[in-house]
Amino acid sequence: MATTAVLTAKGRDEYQAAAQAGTIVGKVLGWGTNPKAATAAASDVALFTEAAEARVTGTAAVVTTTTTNDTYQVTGTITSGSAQTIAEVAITDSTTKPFSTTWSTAPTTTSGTSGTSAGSYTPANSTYIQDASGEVMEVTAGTGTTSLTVVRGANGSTAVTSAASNEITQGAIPGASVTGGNLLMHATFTGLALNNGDSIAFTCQIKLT
Amino acid sequence: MAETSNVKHTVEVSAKVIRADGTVHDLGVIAAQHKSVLKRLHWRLFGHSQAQRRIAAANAHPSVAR
Repeated sequence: MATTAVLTAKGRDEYQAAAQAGTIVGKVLGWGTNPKAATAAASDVALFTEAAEARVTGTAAVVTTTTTNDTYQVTGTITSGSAQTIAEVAITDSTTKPFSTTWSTAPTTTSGTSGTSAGSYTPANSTYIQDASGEVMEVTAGTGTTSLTVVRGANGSTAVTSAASNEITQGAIPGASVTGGNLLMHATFTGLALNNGDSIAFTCQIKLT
Repeated sequence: MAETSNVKHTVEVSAKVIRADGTVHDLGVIAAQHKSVLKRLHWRLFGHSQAQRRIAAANAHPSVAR
């Protein structure tokens, strides 16, 4: 896993929309465990494996890094409710978590186009899911069932061999919107070992050129 | 349309681990991507390893499990 932080493609989309509307982009923080040690990428649409804790509405501000007011900053603290290792954080625009389940039988290798989910896939067809492996897939058939047909390597992601029990989470690509599924910034890092009651105070800064 | 976006931007995530007993581990920047070539090089050569050391130190001093 590479340690990195990215403004996602959806984040860029939201920035443009917010600038046009004169509003602010998201300031909600969520974290996850990233058990597959995937690397955050601009193509991501959700946390790789979101942890159980509720998302936190952070504090947004425009601050100065190099030139006046050139940086968008979100700060917030999340407290762990159990012993776990946290290895990713994201900025979204909603405290609601999107649809998520796991593969019972994942699509095979990097080209398989069918898989079986553990829970019934409630979003509509032609929606997108983030696999814990780092790949984004488009679900083209199977809504309301557990038998899903997918297009691999969607939203500019790279197809990666998945596995049963990998988390799959719905998320929005640019031009679309999913309640709880609009991922604006995503960062992966070496895992931080927490016990129940430990917290992480995050400061996330985004500076566009 | 495939989105291979990676517009030029800088993102930095800093973190402080606050143990349940009040102990604070200030980790500084733990994840980053820089537009500036020099800052990117600095992160790769120094910043990343510094972050790794700080994270390891914080993980070596956990709070008592409740």
